[in-house]
Amino acid sequence: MIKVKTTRFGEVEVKDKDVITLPNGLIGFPELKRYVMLDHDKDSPFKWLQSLDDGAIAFVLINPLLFKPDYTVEVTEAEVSDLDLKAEEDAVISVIITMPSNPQNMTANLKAPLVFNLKNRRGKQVILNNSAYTTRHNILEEVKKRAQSAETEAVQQVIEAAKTKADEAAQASAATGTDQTGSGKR
Amino acid sequence: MLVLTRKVGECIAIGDDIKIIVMQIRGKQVRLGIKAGPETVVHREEVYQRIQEENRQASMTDTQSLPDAARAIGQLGRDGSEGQDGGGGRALRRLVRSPRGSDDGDEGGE
Repeated sequence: MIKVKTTRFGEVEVKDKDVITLPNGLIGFPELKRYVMLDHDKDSPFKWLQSLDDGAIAFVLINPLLFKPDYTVEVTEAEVSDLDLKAEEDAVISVIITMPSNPQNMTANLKAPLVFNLKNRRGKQVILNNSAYTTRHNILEEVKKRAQSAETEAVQQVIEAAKTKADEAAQASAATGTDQTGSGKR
Repeated sequence: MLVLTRKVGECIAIGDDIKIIVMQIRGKQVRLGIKAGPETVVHREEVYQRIQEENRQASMTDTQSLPDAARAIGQLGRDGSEGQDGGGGRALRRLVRSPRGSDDGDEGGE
């Protein structure tokens, strides 16, 4: 059992088996290697990664797939060898959120995600070579973008359905009546 | 700090496993080749700095800002496959990359 006085959550008690270890710490915080994951709220997508070595340090994490389902973390075996990952399903990807004063502008660091091994509770921060990912990816803009394209898709589907109906109706009347366009070409 | 002067084609050895080779010099730019084991992390310094700075800023988030942020995000579909640890496993792809050869320009700008 570890007891840590934290600035945000007061005194926190953590069972040894719940401790998350980052053997290389985080970039810029190499000395802080022990953490615990705390829930923000049952209905919230955020989690807190609270340092057990420095009670003042904690990070907000989020599952990047929630707002960017196509997010892919490509790493070499060697990069994650110290996590001892036996299977991809054991890996959990989280990204760190930077929260400015206006929550509308909250950003996620997609360039340097955290990879955790569920089985041994070890993790590390990796830097991705993919230049499409930045350290400040605006979460709400991404959510809006996807909502819009989902809407557009839905509208298009309605249009397609209407077209198909119209086609069928036209074919039906052509079959029964006066059709000059026997070939059915439009 | 150790300062060395090298010509094109010459090399610097760091420890047993790291070599830095001057590949080309054109005007103000030096093209460097880096040979190191796959476990050695190599990045342009400004990328590393940027991430360090971002982590530092992120570490200052306080609990007050979260409820508003959670409201702003609204109902981000949370399917049952999300793990307890706030992450998603399907995003990970492990590669066996060929030895660092022509990786120049991979990281890109921001």
